[in-house]
Amino acid sequence: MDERLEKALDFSKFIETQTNQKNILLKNYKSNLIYYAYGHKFVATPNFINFVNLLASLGEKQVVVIDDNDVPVYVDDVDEFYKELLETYVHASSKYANEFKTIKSNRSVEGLASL
Amino acid sequence: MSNGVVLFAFNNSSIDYIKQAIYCAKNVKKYLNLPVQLITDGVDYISDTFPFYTDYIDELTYVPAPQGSTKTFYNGIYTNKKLEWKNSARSSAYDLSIFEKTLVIDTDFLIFNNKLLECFSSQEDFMIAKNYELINTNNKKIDFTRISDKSIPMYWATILYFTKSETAKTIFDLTSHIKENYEYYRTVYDITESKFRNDYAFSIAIHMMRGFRESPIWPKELPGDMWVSTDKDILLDIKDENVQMLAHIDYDYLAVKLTASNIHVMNKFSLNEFIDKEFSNV
Repeated sequence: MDERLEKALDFSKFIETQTNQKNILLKNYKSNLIYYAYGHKFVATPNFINFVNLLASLGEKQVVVIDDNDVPVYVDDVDEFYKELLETYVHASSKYANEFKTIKSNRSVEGLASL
Repeated sequence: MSNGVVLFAFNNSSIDYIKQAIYCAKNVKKYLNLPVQLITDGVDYISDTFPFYTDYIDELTYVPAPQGSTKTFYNGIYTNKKLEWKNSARSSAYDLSIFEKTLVIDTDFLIFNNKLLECFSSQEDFMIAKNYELINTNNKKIDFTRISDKSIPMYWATILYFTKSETAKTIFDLTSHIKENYEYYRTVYDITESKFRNDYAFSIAIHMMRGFRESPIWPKELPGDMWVSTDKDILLDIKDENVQMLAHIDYDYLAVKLTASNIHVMNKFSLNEFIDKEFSNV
């Protein structure tokens, strides 16, 4: 095979592998943002975290939030709920950032898939 | 026992599902720390061949192997074998489970995180896998979202959660009824594949139980992730929570690495090869 063609095909394989790994990371990140509490499912998005922080700042002891399935949920300890949501977001985001950095620094298919 | 995991394993002439079940149970112990019940026809085989199985499996339940059908099992893109497939015992999980709250998983579903534990604190009586991700995220050709082109959403019996409850009993009873009358339901739901599949039976049962309509209200989505690799993909290696695979793209492969993700490995041959390597050190 022509060397120029071979190099181009190798690069194309690398880009395809890298794109797939980035997609996997993003999907895992979204999954890691899910937080379960009171038997319900919530997603720790910046909007939701801010909203819960606002509720906490009002000094309410018990609040109602809507879960990811549109079901209303009584939250008994809003401060704790806020703390857990924020922790979920911070942990998921920093894991995503670290793994993304590793992918970006790998310049070969072997490096991207190595265990 | 209140919470636990149930596995089914019935070997055929080439695939050792019992061996897979032990490896699967090993991961269950590591990531979920739950008791495991194995339902199988190979009670003597497991004791004779894998005496260490008691490290991972807490309860063995004998049942005769269900009637099999013939299925083509691929091992990557280029090779395949037609083998017997004995998969129709799943609808008896409700009656056979020794647990109050049960997670049923396929033996080729490998757990690498603890997200499924959330099932046990939910208020749901029945949950089943629906959403999935292909390990080749660019592959738009494979579509497992419906049981047939013109029909209903597909649910995966690969992962099921149920409590001993009236709702769960009803759905398992209905699934048994669908299994017994499969030719009829296969025609009604326009399923082209002739062999019985648990995924289809549960999908039909869910559709019937929610009033013959599509609705996201019930059953609720299972917690956690389900990555799917087809039998045309190849499992290369697993180290700790990292899985290295080759995903097929047409007639070529793409290298893939998954970390801390639950994965359904449909290529039983490459899974068995890996487990042989793992167990050679036991």
